[in-house]
Parts: sequence; C-alpha cells; structure tokens
Amino acid sequence: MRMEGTVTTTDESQAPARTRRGGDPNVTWEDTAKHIGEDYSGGIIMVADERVDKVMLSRYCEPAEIGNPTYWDEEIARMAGYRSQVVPWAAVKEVPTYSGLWRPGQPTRFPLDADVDFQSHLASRQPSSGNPPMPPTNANFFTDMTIEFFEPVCLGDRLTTMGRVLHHVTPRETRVGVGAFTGYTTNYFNQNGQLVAKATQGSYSFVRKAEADIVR
Amino acid sequence: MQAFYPPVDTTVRWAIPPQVYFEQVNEGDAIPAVDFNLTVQRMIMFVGATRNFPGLHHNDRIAQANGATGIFLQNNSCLMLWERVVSDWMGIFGRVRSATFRITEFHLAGDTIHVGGTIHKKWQENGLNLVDLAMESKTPRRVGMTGTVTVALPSLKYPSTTPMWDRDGKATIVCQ
Repeated sequence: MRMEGTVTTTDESQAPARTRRGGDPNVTWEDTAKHIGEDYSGGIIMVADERVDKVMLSRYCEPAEIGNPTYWDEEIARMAGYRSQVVPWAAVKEVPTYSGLWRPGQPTRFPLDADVDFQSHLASRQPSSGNPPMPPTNANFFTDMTIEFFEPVCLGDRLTTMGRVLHHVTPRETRVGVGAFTGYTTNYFNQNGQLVAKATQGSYSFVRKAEADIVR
Repeated sequence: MQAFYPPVDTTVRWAIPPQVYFEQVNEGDAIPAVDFNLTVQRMIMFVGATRNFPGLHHNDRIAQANGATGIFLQNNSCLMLWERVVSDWMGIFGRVRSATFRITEFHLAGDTIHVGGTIHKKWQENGLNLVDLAMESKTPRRVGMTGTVTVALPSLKYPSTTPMWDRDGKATIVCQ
C-alpha cells in the first residue's frame, strides 16, 4: 500500500509515558516474543510530499548550534564528496516521511471546543497496523535507539519509510513498573530507492507501580 | 526607503574546521565536550525544528500529568546534542556509520547537559577506518544518556576523501 496522504493517527512512537489501555490478560511477554520478526507496518509505505530544503537544514542545526559546514554550504558539501548539502546524521529520522500535519481540504486539527491542553492527532511518522498481542500495560515511554546510516540524505531528497518489524521483547521489572522492553525496526529510503537509514526504536511498556513504590 | 539586510551575510562561506584523521586518534582519547543550557526557548526550538509536537516536550502540565517534573527533550533531540559534539570533532570528511543510545534520565528545561565522548575502539573493516566513540550525556541529577557512535574517518593517505559505503557496510569509496 502506497500512502501519500496525511495519516491522522496518534504518533505512538513519540509519546513516552503516555497512558495506554488494553492488552490481553491471557497473553504473556513470552507470547509476545513469539512474534519477533513479524512486520506490523500493515504494508504501508509512507512517502513524504516535502523534499529536504535549505530551511529544514538550518532549523535542524540551530537548536544545538551544529556548525559543520557540510550542513550549511553546498560547495563545501560537494567538495567533501556529497551530492549536495547534507542532513545532519542525527536529524535523518526527523526528515518528513509523511505528508505534513495539515493539508487543504482536511478538517481542522484545532476544534473550537478543544481546551488549551488539547493534543491534536497529527501525522504518524511510522507506518503501523497495531502491535502484536501483549499483556495489559498502562504506561509506555521511549528508551533506546540503534540507527545505521548508509546513503547520505541531501538537499532535494524525498524520503520514504517502510516496515515496522518487531525486533526484540525483553521482560523486566524496573524502578517505575513491571513490563517489557520492545523494539521495532524501520527502514528509510530516498527517491532513488537507496537505503539511507535503518533504525530500531525501543520503548518500555509497563504497569506503573504505585507512586510510593517508585524509586526516584 | 531604507533597505533591510540580515545581520548575518548568508552568502558567506563557512570556515572549514580542522580535520581529524584515522592515524591521529588513539583509543582512550577524549573528544572535546560541550555543555548545553536547556532554556525553555531552546527546548521549543527543538520542538519546532523536529516537528515533534506531543505536549510532553512543550507543555509542563501535560508532561507532569505523564509523570515527568516538566517538559523534557524528545529522544532524537537528545541525539542532536551528540551530533554537535561528534560533528565538531570529526570534521567535514568524517561520516557517522551508526549510533546506539539509551536514555536513562529526562533532559529537563533548566538543565545544563554535559556531553562528552571517548574513543573506545579503533579498527579497519570492509575498507573503512572506524572508531567507536563511547558517548555520555550528564544531567545535573545523573547520567541521562549513554551509547556509542561509530565514525568512519579519512586517512592521511587520502586526506580529502569522505568514506562512503553500501547497504552491506562495505566501502564504496575506500579511504585506507
């Protein structure tokens, strides 16, 4: 399935500590681990409608004040062997692979009856068709990531995201709760079909301990 | 009519930083560290740059309702602090091959985050000159993020050649 429209599901991958409901009390984490290697992207291929532009590159560099001139100057980037100005390696996963947060013809993301802390369902950054069977949990947060880089991402590139393969399931009790570390692997491609990055993002899904029992 | 010019000449060529070469680095060497002052304004700049808009990263009420003491830096923005430190060090002909990290503490507004790294391992493989940097971010409370960044460096033999590799990790532009 090739998807070029905005996906209006909650961005689960970017939501540490978000309360989750559901889960099956008859399922154990060992059952979940049996699904390692299975793809939970639903076959969705997310193609960005935006290309990497100079403004994006400046914005990526500004907050941490990243001054490597291959990110700022096209001539220097070419001299260093790149096709054009380069996306900072740490920002590759932030390059849009979706079609924006709102587009003409779509309903408002900010209804008039929303309160000041209302959180709109903006674009998902990862193709997803749900999760494998899991025990009940009520909290989840991001924990870790491994990302490999291949072809550099440069000015003018248009990225595509594919796959969400269950990579690991590690049950563990921590100072905040009882649950498991899980991770999913996603691949990122450029407009020429070249693999630019492969990332495995991990999170901790758990049943939160009572506040008095949490070790701060 | 008075013409308006931006305060910075955006046509200027940026200064090229000193280059580090594979032969010049040794296991155990520290790379220059950087302290990052996470003001609220800077936190919001990260949100805007990465377009990561969950309230956890820009709204104290939402962050606190989810168990944090206040807004905290999103994971990839934490990685951008490492990007600054590594990119400053590796020069324009170095390239990052991979990064692995684990977040162990919130990077909160008001924190000063100390980011540094040490060369943990140096080796040659598949036509690449590789070094593993053991990286660490310290928050005022405890270590906030640890991991490894693997960098491919140029050599003195080919001082102005950037290493490239294919999807199997084999060099397509050899720098050894």
